Amino acid sequence: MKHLDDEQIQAYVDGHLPAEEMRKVKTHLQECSFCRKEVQVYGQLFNILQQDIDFQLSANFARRTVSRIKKKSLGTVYNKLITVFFGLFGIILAVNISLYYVNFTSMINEFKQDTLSFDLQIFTSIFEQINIFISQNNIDVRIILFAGIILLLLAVIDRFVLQSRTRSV
Amino acid sequence: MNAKEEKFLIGRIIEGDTDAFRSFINEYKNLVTHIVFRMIGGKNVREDLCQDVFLKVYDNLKDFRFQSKVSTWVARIAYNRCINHLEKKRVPLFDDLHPQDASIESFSSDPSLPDKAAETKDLQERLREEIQKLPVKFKTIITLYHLDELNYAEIGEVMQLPEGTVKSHLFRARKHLKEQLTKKYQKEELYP
Ligand SMILES: [Zn+2]
Repeated sequence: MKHLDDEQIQAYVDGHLPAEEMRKVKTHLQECSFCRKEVQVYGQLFNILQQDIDFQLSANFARRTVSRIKKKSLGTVYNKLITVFFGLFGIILAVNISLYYVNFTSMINEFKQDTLSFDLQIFTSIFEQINIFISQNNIDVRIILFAGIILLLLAVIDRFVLQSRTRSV
Repeated sequence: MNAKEEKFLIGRIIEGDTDAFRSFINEYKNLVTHIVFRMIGGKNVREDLCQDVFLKVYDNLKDFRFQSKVSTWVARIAYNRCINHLEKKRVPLFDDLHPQDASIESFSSDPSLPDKAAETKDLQERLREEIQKLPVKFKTIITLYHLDELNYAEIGEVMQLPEGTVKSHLFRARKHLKEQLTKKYQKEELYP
């Protein structure tokens, strides 16, 4: 008598056999204890394969993964925004300080006397224009400085508010 | 979760609802851990890899067009992430099953398993050891089929293999495991 092969037995245990073959296999199994044992072994194997054990993640896995996403998105979008804030503030501050402390007229004159390149003359004349503009319109440089500080404050507040919001989620 | 609920949940995640993503993680973490834990031996990198998988899912969710089941898509990301990790570790990915060699080797050259300990270990534990010894693609197929109940076509989609290959790999892996168990341990133990 020809025994069932592994393919037949696996399909039988899986429940994938077409009806016709199923009948044949069942008839054989009724008569053959060797194949019955094989079926039993496969059945036990499949049972164990279906058991979900040893796959434990730490308890708050989902929460920690979500917090990593928040950190990541904060890190990208808001860090960029904050860099822009600080950048703007830095530029404003630099312009202010230079306008406040440097005596432009004498500097420009020195440059003009020098045999420096045409480029630099353009550059210095821009500063000269700014200087003239400020003095003519009576602008107080301290106001610009103040605006810069307010910008910085806004950036800091924004960051703190955001952090506390994400922590509470 | 049915397809409609899934679509709704994904919509909320894309809108930035992190609670929705937490539900999504809880829905699919079993699938992801099954794949990662089976494919990756290193205990301390497994959880990080699971996190990586979900971060990748999150980044790509807006491009997901529902051409496949969400589970298949998530499984594929997990599978690819593990392959990527194993490639870096230079783990052979395309090994085939060699029943004869494997049985001799696993029986004689495993000093970490003294006979006594092996005796007291139950069948499940032995089987898990045998599964871990299988080449990567074989153990992945076994896991996706038996634990996650994916069909041949879905497994093929996850692993980029033809359906026929999935089927024959599954057959050979299970035959191999059966042989290992019956060869290595007395048959009586299998029939309590
Ligand atoms: Zn028989």
